[in-house]
Amino acid sequence: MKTNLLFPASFKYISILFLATPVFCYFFDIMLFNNNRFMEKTLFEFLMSCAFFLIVFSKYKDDDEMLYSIRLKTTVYSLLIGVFLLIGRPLLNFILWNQAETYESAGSIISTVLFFNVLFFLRERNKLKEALTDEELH
Amino acid sequence: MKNYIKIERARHNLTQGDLAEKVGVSRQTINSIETKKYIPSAVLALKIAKIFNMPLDSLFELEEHD
Repeated sequence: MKTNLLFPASFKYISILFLATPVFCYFFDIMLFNNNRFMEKTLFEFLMSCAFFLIVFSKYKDDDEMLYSIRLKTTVYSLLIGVFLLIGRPLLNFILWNQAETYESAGSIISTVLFFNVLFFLRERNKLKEALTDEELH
Repeated sequence: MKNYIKIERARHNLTQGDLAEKVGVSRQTINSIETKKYIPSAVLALKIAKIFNMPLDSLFELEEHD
């Protein structure tokens, strides 16, 4: 199976840059946004989303059709979490605590979905490595 | 889906790593196929069958619940 839809492996290094942004966010907060919490949060979510996206959707050196299918599976699972955040949580808030107006920013939902995508993907990948046995021939 | 890759691999004196290299996948993938955790694509199944020089239906077999 061709994995042409994925980013090159080197893109993962860019994600490290994005992950190192909380420090820069703090700096931006002081220097650029004059403690504008909304701008800071938006920038933080955007950069985190980019980092998580690049981690999952860039190639690994042992990338093949199974990793590709794991990617698809974990993307579906994380999307389900996104659906819960978008629909389930406001609904539960309304039913349980009678709070009708609860807003969740799109950036926050996207970064959470991508975070869970990374988490599920790395967990599955780790499980595969653990399953490898030294006994190969018998 | 049942498969006889492990048996054929032993018969041909191939390690999981050797077979993985021949068909262009990772060792984890071969291991997952052998332990029935992953069902390979038709292309990969055909590649494996070609390595062992045997028909596909002799290497892979449907089980009752498939």
